[in-house]
Amino acid sequence: MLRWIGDETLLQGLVAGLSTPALLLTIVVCIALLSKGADWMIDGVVSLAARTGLPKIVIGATVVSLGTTLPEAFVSVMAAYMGNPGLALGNGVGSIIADTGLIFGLTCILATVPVNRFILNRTGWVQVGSATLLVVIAVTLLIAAPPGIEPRLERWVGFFFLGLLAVYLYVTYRWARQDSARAGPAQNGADEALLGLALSWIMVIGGLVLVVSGARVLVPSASEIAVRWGVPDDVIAATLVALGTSLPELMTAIAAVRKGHPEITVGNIVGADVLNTLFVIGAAAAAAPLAIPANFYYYHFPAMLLILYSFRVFITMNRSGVFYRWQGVWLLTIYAVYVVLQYALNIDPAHG
Amino acid sequence: MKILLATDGSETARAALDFLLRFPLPEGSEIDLLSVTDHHHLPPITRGDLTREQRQAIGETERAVRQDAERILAQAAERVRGAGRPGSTEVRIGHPAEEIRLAAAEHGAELIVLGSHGHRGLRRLILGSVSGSVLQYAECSVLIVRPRTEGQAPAPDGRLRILLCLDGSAPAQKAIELCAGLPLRGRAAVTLLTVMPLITLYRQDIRQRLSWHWQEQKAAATADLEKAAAIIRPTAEDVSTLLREDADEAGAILAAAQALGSDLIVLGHKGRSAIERVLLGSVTGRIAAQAPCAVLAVRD
Repeated sequence: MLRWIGDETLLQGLVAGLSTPALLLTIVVCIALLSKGADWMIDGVVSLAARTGLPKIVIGATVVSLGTTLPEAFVSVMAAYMGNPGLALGNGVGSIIADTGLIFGLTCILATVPVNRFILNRTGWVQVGSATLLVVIAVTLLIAAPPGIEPRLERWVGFFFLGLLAVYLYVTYRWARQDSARAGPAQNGADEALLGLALSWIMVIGGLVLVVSGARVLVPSASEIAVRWGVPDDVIAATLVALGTSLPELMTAIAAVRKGHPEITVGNIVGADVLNTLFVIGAAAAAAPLAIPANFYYYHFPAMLLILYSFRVFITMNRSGVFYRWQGVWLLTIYAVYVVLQYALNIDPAHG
Repeated sequence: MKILLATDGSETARAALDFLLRFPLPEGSEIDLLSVTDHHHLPPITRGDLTREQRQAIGETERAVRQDAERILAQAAERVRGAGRPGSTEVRIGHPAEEIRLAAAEHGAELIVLGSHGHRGLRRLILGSVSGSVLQYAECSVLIVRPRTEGQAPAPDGRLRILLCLDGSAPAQKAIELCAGLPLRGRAAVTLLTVMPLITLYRQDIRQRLSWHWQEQKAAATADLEKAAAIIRPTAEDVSTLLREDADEAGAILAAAQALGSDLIVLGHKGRSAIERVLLGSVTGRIAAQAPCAVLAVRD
């Protein structure tokens, strides 16, 4: 089944057989599909929030995040099964860095993003807590590992993370209920044109399917064009491939800002970060033990923690109830420095 | 080597016997012959409401079926004896795959040989249910033979072209040892193949190929291929190596077999768990089902 889902032979054969104008047209269609899918998803979330009384940020942190992290989860589980632990772990850690540094950073620069303190003081702690737990376990394993042996995230760690994921989803739902009871029914924008509950779900799920599948076709098409235009492989890896699995989050963020619901992006990023640790890395480690390469200890883990704790500090310090533009610039700068240093120092990239 | 050949007199079963008699077996190998009649083909004799005449008719049917199986075995046994291989013959009635597996265990067979399909199989479309089931559940190695198709010519020098697939697993190591123990000198050309699995989803393969980890894995795979070639060379001078990077491990092996005109694909059979089979599928199963030639799945 995984093979079937992950087998790109047919797709890549089709892409390779297309002329350059046909490829460019494919890319345009994919971007249109991604954009339309993200729009549907945001409309669905807004309507779902109003219908169910759940805050949009919570739906962003659960349903939307589960959908947008599916590409990372598939890649990581496949990589773990196929004996490529660096790729499996790198997808999770790299996505946290890209989602928070690049996508949330950009969102803060482009829009005024509200801070839902009640939710963020809870899920926000799970976001940094789960990543910190991952690093603490990794460091403990490093200390305990015999000299010359690479420490490994064993399968029990994977199942433990998946257990924590179930707890996280349940607790988030409880918090959301408390928050909607505290804020009252009007908070979800009663003025929005409401869709039926079933149609809201169809919009959310249909949008997710479009976004995830659009990205799946866009990445090989864009990579093929880049190869034809003589772009070096390492540049393609650092740009198109690095962003490939995060495209759903990026498109969701753009649509959310455009439609005036940036809080969905906050929820999506916080949720995606939690899921990248508990779901992506958890499922991959549960599938097969993940060896932790040395560069994670001195480069990728510190970068991830720096970005996440910056985000955490911003939540605490933003008494005015919004994220500031300079905070977006800070996150984006860390991300840019992280990417540039990675290539300047020739460090194996973390991101899938 | 103790071998159990299962036959039902079909074209593929005859091809299996032909292949086995041409195969460079170790000195002193024995070939036991087995024919299993599917009990579903016989009327249920245990029913209490049958008349004496009906019981007699059923008994005669069973005798006729048994005699037919014995005739098939006698023909095969003559050819086996003619090739200088000793061995026994046995007829069983029951579930074919299960009886073959049980007989192999009772005979202490190290290898089960059978055709890809019986009389009822859809030749070359999918793997027959009996051979598929034996491949999955047998405790020893299994050789599945397919009749040669038109346009699939034997090597001009008459040598067997073997494609030995390696993946660093314990069964693959066993496959190396098995090949090293065969008298292949002058009778076979061996190509050792390792397929490094790429993840092409979201073009991760571009990144994967650039990583140090991949380069290290590639160097290790190349070294392993050379080490395996050194083990086999004393018994087969014509040994070459191939390293492929591909997202589809089974597809790459099948393509290599096609390109090399292989007569036999040898690979270690890991016996994945049920969950892994659902998630990843069985490489051995797919190769056995789609290979243009015989397939030897070696168990650890």
